Amino acid sequence: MIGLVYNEMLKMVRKKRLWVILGILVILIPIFTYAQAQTLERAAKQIGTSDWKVVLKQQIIDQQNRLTSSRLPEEWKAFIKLNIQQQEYYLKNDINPTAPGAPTFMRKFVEESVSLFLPLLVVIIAADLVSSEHSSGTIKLLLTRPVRRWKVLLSKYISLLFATSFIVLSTAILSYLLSGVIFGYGGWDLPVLSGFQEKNGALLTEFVHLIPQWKYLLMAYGLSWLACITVATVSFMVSVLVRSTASGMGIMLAAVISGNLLMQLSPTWGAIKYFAFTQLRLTDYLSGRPILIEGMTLPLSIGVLGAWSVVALIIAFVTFSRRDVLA
Amino acid sequence: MHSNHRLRWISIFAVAIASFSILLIGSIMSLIELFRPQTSNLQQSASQKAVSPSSPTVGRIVSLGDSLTRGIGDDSGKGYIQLFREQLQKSSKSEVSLVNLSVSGATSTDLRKQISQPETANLLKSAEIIPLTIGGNDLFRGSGRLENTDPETVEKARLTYQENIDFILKDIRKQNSKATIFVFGLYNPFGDLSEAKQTNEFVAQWNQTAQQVIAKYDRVVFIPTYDLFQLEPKRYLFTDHFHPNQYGYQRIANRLTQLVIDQEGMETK
Amino acid sequence: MNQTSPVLEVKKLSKRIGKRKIVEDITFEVEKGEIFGFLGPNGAGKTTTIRMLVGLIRPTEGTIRIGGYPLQDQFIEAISQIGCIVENPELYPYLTGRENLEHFARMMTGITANRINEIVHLVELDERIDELVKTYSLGMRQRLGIAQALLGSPKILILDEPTNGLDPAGIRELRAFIRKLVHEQGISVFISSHILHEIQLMCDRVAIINKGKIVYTGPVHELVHEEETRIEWKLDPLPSGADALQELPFVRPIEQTEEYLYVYMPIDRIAEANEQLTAKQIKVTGIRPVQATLEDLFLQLTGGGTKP
Repeated sequence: MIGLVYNEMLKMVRKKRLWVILGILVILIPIFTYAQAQTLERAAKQIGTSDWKVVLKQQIIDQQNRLTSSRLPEEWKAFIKLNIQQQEYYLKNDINPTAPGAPTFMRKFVEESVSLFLPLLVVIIAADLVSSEHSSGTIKLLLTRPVRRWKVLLSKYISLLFATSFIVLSTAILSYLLSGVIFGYGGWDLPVLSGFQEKNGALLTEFVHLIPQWKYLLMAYGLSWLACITVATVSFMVSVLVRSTASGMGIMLAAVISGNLLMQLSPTWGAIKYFAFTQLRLTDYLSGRPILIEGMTLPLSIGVLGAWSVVALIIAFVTFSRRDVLA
Repeated sequence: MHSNHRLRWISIFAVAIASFSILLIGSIMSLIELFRPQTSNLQQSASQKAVSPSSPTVGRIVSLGDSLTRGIGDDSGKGYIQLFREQLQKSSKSEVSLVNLSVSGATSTDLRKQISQPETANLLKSAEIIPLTIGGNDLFRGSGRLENTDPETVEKARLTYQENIDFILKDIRKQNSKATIFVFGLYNPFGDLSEAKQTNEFVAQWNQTAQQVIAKYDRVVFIPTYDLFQLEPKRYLFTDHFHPNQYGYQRIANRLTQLVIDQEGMETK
Repeated sequence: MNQTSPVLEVKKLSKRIGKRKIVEDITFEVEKGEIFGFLGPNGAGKTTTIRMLVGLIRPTEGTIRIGGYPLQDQFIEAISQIGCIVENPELYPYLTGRENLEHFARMMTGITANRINEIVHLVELDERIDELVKTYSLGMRQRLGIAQALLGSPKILILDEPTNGLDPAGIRELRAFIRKLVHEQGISVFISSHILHEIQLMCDRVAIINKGKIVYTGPVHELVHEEETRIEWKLDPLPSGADALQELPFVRPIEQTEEYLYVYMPIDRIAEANEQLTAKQIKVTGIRPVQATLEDLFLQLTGGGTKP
């Protein structure tokens, strides 16, 4: 079995997909870093000071002003209100939610990329993992060995889990190394608030507590990893079901993007909670960022993601071990 | 060839297993954290920090009030406050910081609440210029726009306004004894309508009220705006017939600039 | 494994996809050390049958035993006896030849680095084995494909249209290689093809499949009767010449084009026929025996002398 997993990992490494993904990260992270630095600078310039308290206060006031707009949908208002409450809490407790430094950038980056950017990177390697063997014809060599089909598929799945882990961790490491050039490399011990809870539109701070940023990062990347594994698993199923690389990739891109769109466009439509790709923002539970869709809770999110993964795996394994290889 | 092979095998697996384990640990930690919340450990740390409060090095302008200070109605989005800041920067040839704490739709009661928040107080401490617009919503919106011209209700609102503005000024003074506070008077956006007589009277009354309160305090300046919109309200008002447009804001800004820059001149002498 | 049992034994094999019968009731056996041809036109069900033999497609009915092990019930044991190339030799182009072999070796048990070197030497790829497969020529890929098939020392080698895309020299080389393999290692080879001539040159026995059914199984030398060779005549004038030729008792006409006349006749009586024509003042400007085609063979097998 180890040999089989090694086979799959070797192919993945030699196919250069992983390097392409690292390349994408190396190009995009500096752009995001620069954009973030610009935003901070502009905000500081607007107000005339870089004191985070002033900036934060101004942000709160700006959001209060948005609330007065009658055109804003109710669910957005609730979202903004919770956001204001949380920021006021940071202010009251004298904790800077955006203390500059590469670790803070890592935190912001994973919180922003967990629902779209990271899943897309995972889709790049996962969506043709099985279908590429079909399109290159090598599936015929793979399945005429004295190895059961489920073992072949399992080795592919394990190597996919490893690759997903590698991508998530590389994102963390590269965003640290690259953003540190501008923001500096310190800030692992900065306190971060966690444990915000929401009840009936009000923010509960009963369980809010401080954790060091390094621990927060470990947890945030761990959660984004769970989300990425679900995306990987569903892509894996698609790559078993669909023979062409292009359509597999297309299906997964459409699914991930529409999950994000649904979250923005119709947060009041309760049924979208059960679509796995609207549940990817697991890090929001950690940061206490208000969740737009009504009725979302951590057990529900984990449950939906888990259920999708299990069902996808069952479909993948049953199909793969039964299906005739016709072309 | 052979050791090379072995090295590649080991390194691929080492990287794979290491990244898998680290993230697995992270996800387990986060699930424990989220499913079994710890009670807050903040009280302590907050009080520790209170010992050494970081005093914000805030700049000079801290503006308060309602949509006028926000700049609603100005197509360029600047409002009088940004125009004023630009002019001040030009004349002083240096960066002037601005924290705009105004909230659209705020009444004097809202401002009174906002002033009491510790963070607002903190910001006010280091301000040098505090422009403020308030009362328009008390008069025209809070009392049910101009359909409601019931003098009794308006009178009630006026008394609240009087009390609030007194409280606000007292509070600002408590935080900051040096800053100059500029309180803008009200104008009548409905001066060209049939009920103009009635509304004009209200506006005059309220402005008088404000001036009376202001008189009790040092370094608080009342800036009238009533006259600016009296003759040609259409030309200086936004299409909502309530807020000034960019020309209106420019006129308001000019008044403030005039006062401040003259004063600056005095001070430098 | 029982010494006397056939290496490959196929019984009443059928495959239906939906209502369509792709392959129906196929039965044949391949003995040890035998080169077995599997002949049929494109679309006859050859590839489907081969895919069933190697476990890529599940048969709807029937059994396959390889080295005595039933493929469906004892897949691992049965498939271990087989080495195969299904259609083109598709390997991973982004790996080197050696990496490809190592890849497949890891999917079997007991393949050592020495065994890989041995196989590489056997298929004469020693010099290029550490280069990426995408730099290989088709012939080299074919040889690498055979190498991976031979890796597990199979009892039977299954090759699907192995000469596809090869030039005549390559085909000759492959033929010699297969002969050598059977001779030296005693393994059986199962070769599918749609070219009768190829099967005639390589195989001991043949099964012929048409429209999903086996129409003939037996030794290759019994397949084409020597006395019934297809001969192409060029005559002047053609119409009267054709009449004269067809009067002869040993000649069976096939078809007549504007220039040529095709007939079946024993090859050793050409001289006799030529004399008869000359006697009747007909000029014979060309005589040529033509390679029998699969089509001819079907005509023969169905006993018809006219065009289908």
